[in-house]
Amino acid sequence: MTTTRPAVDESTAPDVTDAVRVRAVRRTFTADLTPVRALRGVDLDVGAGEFVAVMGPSGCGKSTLLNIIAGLDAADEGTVEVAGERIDGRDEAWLARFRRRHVGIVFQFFNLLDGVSALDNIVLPGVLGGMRRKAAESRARELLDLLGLGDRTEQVPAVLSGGQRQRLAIARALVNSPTLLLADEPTGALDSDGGLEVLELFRRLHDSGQTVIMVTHSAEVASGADRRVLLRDGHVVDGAGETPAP
Amino acid sequence: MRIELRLRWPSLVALALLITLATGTVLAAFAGARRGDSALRRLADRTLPATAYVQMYQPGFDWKPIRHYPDVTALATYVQVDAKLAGIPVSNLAVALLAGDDQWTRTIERPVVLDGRLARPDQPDEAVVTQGFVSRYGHGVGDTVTAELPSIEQQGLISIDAPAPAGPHVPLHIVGIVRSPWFADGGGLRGRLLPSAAFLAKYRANLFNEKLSWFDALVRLRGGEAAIPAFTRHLIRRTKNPDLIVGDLVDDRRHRQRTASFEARWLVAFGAVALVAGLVLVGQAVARHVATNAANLDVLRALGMTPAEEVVAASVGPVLAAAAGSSLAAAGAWYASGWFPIGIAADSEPNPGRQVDALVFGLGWLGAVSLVGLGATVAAWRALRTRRAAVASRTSVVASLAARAQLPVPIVIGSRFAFETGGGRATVPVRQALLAAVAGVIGVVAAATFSAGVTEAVANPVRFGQTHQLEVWLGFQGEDIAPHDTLEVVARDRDVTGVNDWHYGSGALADGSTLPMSTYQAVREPMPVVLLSGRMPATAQEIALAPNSADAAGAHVGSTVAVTGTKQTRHLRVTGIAFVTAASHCTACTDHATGAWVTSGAFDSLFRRYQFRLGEITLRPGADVGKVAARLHRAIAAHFGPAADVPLAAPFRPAATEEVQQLRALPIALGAFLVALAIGALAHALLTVVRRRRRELGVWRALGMTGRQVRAVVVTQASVIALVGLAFGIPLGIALGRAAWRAVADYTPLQFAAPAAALASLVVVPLALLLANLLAAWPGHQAARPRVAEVLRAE
Repeated sequence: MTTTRPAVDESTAPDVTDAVRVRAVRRTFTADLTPVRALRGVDLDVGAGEFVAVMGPSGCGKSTLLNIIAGLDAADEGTVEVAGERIDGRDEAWLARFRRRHVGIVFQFFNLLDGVSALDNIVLPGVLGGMRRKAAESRARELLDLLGLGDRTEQVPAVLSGGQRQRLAIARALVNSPTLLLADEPTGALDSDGGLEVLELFRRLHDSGQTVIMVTHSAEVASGADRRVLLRDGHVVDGAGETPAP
Repeated sequence: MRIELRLRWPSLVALALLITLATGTVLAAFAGARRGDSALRRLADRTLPATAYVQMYQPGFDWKPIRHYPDVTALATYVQVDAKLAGIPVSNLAVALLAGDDQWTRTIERPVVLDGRLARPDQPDEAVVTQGFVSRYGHGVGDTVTAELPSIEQQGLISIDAPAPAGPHVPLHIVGIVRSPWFADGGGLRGRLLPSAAFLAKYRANLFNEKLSWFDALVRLRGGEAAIPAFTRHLIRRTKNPDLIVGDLVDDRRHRQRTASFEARWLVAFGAVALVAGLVLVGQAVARHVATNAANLDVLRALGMTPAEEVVAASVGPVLAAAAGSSLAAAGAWYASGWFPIGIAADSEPNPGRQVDALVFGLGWLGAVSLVGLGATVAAWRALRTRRAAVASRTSVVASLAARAQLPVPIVIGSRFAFETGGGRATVPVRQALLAAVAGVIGVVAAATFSAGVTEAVANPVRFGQTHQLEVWLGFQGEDIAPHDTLEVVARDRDVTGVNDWHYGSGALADGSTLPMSTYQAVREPMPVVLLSGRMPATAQEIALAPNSADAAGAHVGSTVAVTGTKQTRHLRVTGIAFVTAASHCTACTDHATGAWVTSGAFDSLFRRYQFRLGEITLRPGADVGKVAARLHRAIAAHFGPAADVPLAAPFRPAATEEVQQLRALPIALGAFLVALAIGALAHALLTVVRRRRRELGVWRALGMTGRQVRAVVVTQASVIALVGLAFGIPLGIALGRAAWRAVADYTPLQFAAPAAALASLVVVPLALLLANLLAAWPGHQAARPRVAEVLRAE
């Protein structure tokens, strides 16, 4: 796909109020030859520095929405603006470079690099994001200290606990200081202690000004967020934020 | 079982095909080796082979009384000629001998008929040919060739500038393709034609000079090889001709058998390499298949399946795949049997074409199924014991170094993929790919190195002891046919750097074995000789032995050997081991590794007269042989007058040249097999990485890696594997190629020169990298496809 829009300027972040602006987004999949309408016209605004929990039952389209905001999936219809940039209709390479700068993602099952030290799990994405290795290492150590993993730098993910792994995944998501931190069921694979630990971490990040969108089906986890957005059958039924202009 | 067949049939089909390839290659090689090793014996069993040949050198000799000698069970006469076939250079010796009677092909050397029939003895226009004649000249059964017969004046002369045959042009109908131990391709001759006995009878005036020509004979002795000495004594007594030569054809077949066995051992080595490679490849594939099966059996275990039943259930698929694959392999080996035997044995196979080797195929089938069954059972047992155990992959040092060196992330990740096996479901056969890459490069470089050795040796007759480029025919049976100072005139030419006055006599060692003896007598400058150790003889008490004769006599430099000539037996001191000059004038002297050099004094003390006399002429490097020959002709004519027609010819190509050439195919085939193996393993590893590490690649995409960078990861992985293959494969391949060439050089024997490997080493680097990148193109494209969310959701 080609685009006539300007390339991502990675040197300066645009001055925006809304970190995310989603308008009339629709997305339909085909599963076993049957169309599944995951999103049926979603509108959502997330302000800079806001901590939003997207909730809803299984299959309501939460993860699809998150993937579209991350540029990992493309909407069939509608517009998506992240950090002041329209990301709908962009090609894969542009989206990849955009993610390096503006989006950090935390997955339910961590998705860490097996066989790679905790430090390098953070450093390599930092280098990919354009940092020098030394700077990336410094940033990684800073994040590991911040997230309580300062003594685990050389250990591989396999020997860490679930909570530690998720903290490591969060550190990785933060290495490039993204505009937006997206988390898909970040506590889903953790026990209750681990879940609380991670939730507390998100709160701390939010307190420091980080914009966070977290997908969860747990009301308890969602209670830590500023705002809860409820999705059902591909529609936002509550908490969409600013009403879109007609 | 049914569930597995339904769900995992593509994997089982792939496994069966892998087993087919590996088992088929091994079966074909082992069956081919067995067939090649036995070909000559089977041919001899069917063809009443001659025990000896007799070169009589006695015009007008009557063979009838010899036929009645008690130990002679069969005797056939023949005459050596230089007849020309239209379109075939006379130097190719397509018609080198003619049957003197109808015994040949009936009571002695009765050939197997590969196609058509034998020529009728009363039909002068019928002939049979060897298979080499068909493949070399394109004329087979039903075709007609034209024999251009010499005029009487032209008989017996082979010369570079010989005039066209001036005798009758006779059509010869090819009625059969035949083969016997004596009448076969090989030994420097490829493509022979044998007209019926009636041909010689009809055109005797053109082909046989009653005053100068004579009949030689093939004999079959009741007492076999052991009866040859007594038969020889009887002949000498009867003919009063001590210069006749009785050649031991049993020994000749023994030499050919030794070469065929050597080639068969090469083939066995090829099969063994294929077997080891197959064991590794198939073993890993079976282990992976079984491990995946074992994981899928969790549900059935929960439903009450016992561990033993689980092992059986996990193993039965690979066993069935092995049965199917081995059956296909046997069929493939049967098809491939049409290409065997190879090398010298190909000219001796009495039943060419496809054959079933029931023993090899049967044992191979059983072995393959048993090994796969055993491997699958062990793998299933281990997989069931260790399932669910988290396996952490070891971190690659190279990838860590790449990261420390601040190389781009795709290169770091690609390096990890090349070296790290991963764990659990993400396990990738990187060791297999790395080993296969090393093996592939070893195969190519070793084959190229070996091939360079063959090419250099074949193009350089010096390796076979032939240091001269021209021969001048000087005399026969002690009678000079050229003017006395011919070689003096020859030696004055500006392009002539050495001349040897070669006298030939057939001597014998103490054990009775033939010792072809040559004089080493320089005219002006000496002809160089390939000395393997010591020095050339300088006095009448000294001798230099060719390596095979030294072995036969148990002699070495400094020892003394007893040598018998036509005059007496003498004890001579061995001063050196050297190759002798191979010549076509007698069967015994075609081998450069059998014979001896002596001075003229020693020769004269041993022999009443020489049998052949040649001038061996060494030319300046780069000299045009044809121009020098013409110039020498003119010089001789100018010196001795136009009547001095001294024939000049190119020297005989040593028989071992062809044998060495035939060995080239095996290393090339082995190299091709290893390359195919490397391609398969690398492609498999790359595809497996893309499939099993799609989660990690998806994560990288989510972290901001572009499609191009993902492709770079796969390309890096392929390139790193190729580089590892090159780093280890080039030196090992050169060493292996040189060792193999050294083994052939020692065996043949020939003068060893380390084959040049630089070109192969240089060429293989870009080729390997190019191949690796081509192989990475499709997996890279697959990995870069934009479906990140799908992949992450599925995983």
